[in-house]
Amino acid sequence: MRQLRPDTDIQPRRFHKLVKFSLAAFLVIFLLEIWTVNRLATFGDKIQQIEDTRASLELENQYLKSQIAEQSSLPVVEKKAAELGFVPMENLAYLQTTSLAAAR
Amino acid sequence: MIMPLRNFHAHSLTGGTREISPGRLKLLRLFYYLLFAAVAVRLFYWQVLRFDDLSAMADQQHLVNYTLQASRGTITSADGAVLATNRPSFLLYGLPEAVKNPSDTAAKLAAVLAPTPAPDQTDNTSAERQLKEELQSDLSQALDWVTLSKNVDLPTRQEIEKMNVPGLGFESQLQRFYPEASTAAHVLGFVGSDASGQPTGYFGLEGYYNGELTGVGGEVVEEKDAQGFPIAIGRFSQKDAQSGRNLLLNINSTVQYIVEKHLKEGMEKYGARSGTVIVMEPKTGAILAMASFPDYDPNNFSLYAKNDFLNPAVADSYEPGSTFKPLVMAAAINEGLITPETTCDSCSGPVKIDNYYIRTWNDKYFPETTMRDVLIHSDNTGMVFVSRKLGLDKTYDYIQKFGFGAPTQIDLQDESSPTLRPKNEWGMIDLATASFGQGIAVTPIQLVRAMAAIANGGYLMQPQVVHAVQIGNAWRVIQPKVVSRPISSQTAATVTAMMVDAVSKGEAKFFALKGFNIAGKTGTAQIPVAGHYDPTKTIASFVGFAPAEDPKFVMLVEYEQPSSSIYGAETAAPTFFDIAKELLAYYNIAPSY
Repeated sequence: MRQLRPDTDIQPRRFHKLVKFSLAAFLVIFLLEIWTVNRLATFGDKIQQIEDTRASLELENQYLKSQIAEQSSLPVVEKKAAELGFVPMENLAYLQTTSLAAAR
Repeated sequence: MIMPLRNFHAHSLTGGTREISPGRLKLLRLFYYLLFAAVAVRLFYWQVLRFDDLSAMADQQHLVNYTLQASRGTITSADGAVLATNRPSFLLYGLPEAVKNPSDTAAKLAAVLAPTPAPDQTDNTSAERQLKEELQSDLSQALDWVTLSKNVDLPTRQEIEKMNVPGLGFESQLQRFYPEASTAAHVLGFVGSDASGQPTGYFGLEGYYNGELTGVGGEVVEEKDAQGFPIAIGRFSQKDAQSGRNLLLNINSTVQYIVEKHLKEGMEKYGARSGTVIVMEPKTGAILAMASFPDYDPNNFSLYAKNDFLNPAVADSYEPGSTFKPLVMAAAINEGLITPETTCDSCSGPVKIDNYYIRTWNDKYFPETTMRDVLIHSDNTGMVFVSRKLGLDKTYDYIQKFGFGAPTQIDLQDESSPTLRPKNEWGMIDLATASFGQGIAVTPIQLVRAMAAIANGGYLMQPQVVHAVQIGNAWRVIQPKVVSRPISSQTAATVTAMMVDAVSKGEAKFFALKGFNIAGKTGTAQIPVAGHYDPTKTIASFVGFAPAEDPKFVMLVEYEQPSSSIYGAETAAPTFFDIAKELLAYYNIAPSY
């Protein structure tokens, strides 16, 4: 006849299993952290590339903004307008809105 | 666990055993204890006592800090044109030891960096050759680092980078840039360097608002590895740069452009040495345009003499001549001493004061002339009559009330004001000449502001160039400021009507605009030279406002020593009306009749 093990025997065994599992989990996390840190530690060149790209784009944006401001200036616009055939206003006529011709 | 001392047996190679004495074991144990203690002490020394030094050394090796340059605030006109901004520029440097072929490198760089030839030059070879020699000399020096070129723009940098020449590098910086070049140059000023090499504004708005426009630099501290790359999990801290505050002006770039165009044309047409125009909104004191020639390009301020930077509109003084007459007339009317219909009983000929004779500009006299006609004919003898009515005390008082003799406090760095001679030093002749604007010095901005008081119903306003300052995301608007009220609204209306007659019936009537009521006064003031007046050298001017019934702008046009004609009616007045015609159209102001 098989004898049943008492509860007092089962509890220490479970406790041992729990300890072993915790140790294993801790080891895994520990190794994972080391691996992650090592990977990140060597990401510097990628970060540097992104920073360089950002700086370059910001410079280009600033330059383009200054170009837009320059090309929008009235002397430049007037010159381009003259090239397109526009002429300065010479004779300005005012119409009375109460007059019959203007009303029609 | 400490083993009790007992006899140990040592096994020899021959197979026998030998007894080790406890004393020797004790000695061995002591040796190991001492060794352990020595290591512990040494570790304590390096890890605890020397911790600060070593961690500082490590930081020095790994930690890199660099400043983040703050951009200077922009200056924008009322209609959205950018007048001052920042543009990236680069300093090109070379590392001579890394440059393998200085001659070849210099030739390539010179081809890109050589200045653009002037329109009248067809060949740029000599400039390029000279630059190549300079660059080659720099790259051949036994130095670690040399400056090759400053203020290199972005397209040029990209062109040089494409060459893939080793031993070259760039340092970036933000350079102040004025997209409209010399437009409103005197108003803007420029940015140079102070004694410590820091960018600083000089003259105009750049000087006056230097504190507001200057940003605060930031800083980045980060850990870098041996190759100079940032360590992602390393220490990092950043303090962001704060850009300078932006300015929004009352200056309208379209009005400024119209003014500069006509002023430049007038300078050439009338052969003037210099010219100034100010356009101001009379009700608020807002400066809509301010121009002076000759001017300069703030992008290349180093090419100009220091005298060119001062803004004549606020820094130069001159004798206003007949443009001063409406102010003296307003003073007398405000005191109730005269009306437009009062007649002059001493205008039938030259007026003798002390040893001097006061004459009219054309030696024509109108006995029993009215005050209205005094302005129409610009009659000096009539003005002497008015000044006698006022007396010295009241005349001096009103001159001060109209803001003369003290700066207007306009927000430009270079303002200065001539001082009024103390009243007790004035004689009768001084009172007489001051009545027609001679013997008294004013600045253009002072005269415009005083005239604006007539245009706006009697209020002396503080002139203001800047409308608002941006602080964060909000704008702090600068409110118009009433300085004083020299005359009543009734007086202002009366004098306005007299000035409208002066335009429609006076010497400038041939240039007046049809359909508009424009109030104005011509001025032709002789320039004092070595204690006497030179009749051939004048300041020709015209001051006025339009439309008279509800003035949108008050404007002064002034030419110094025009050679085609000395008279304001034939030089400054036509320019005034040319500008006024365009401004009235721009502001959609229809004719009154």
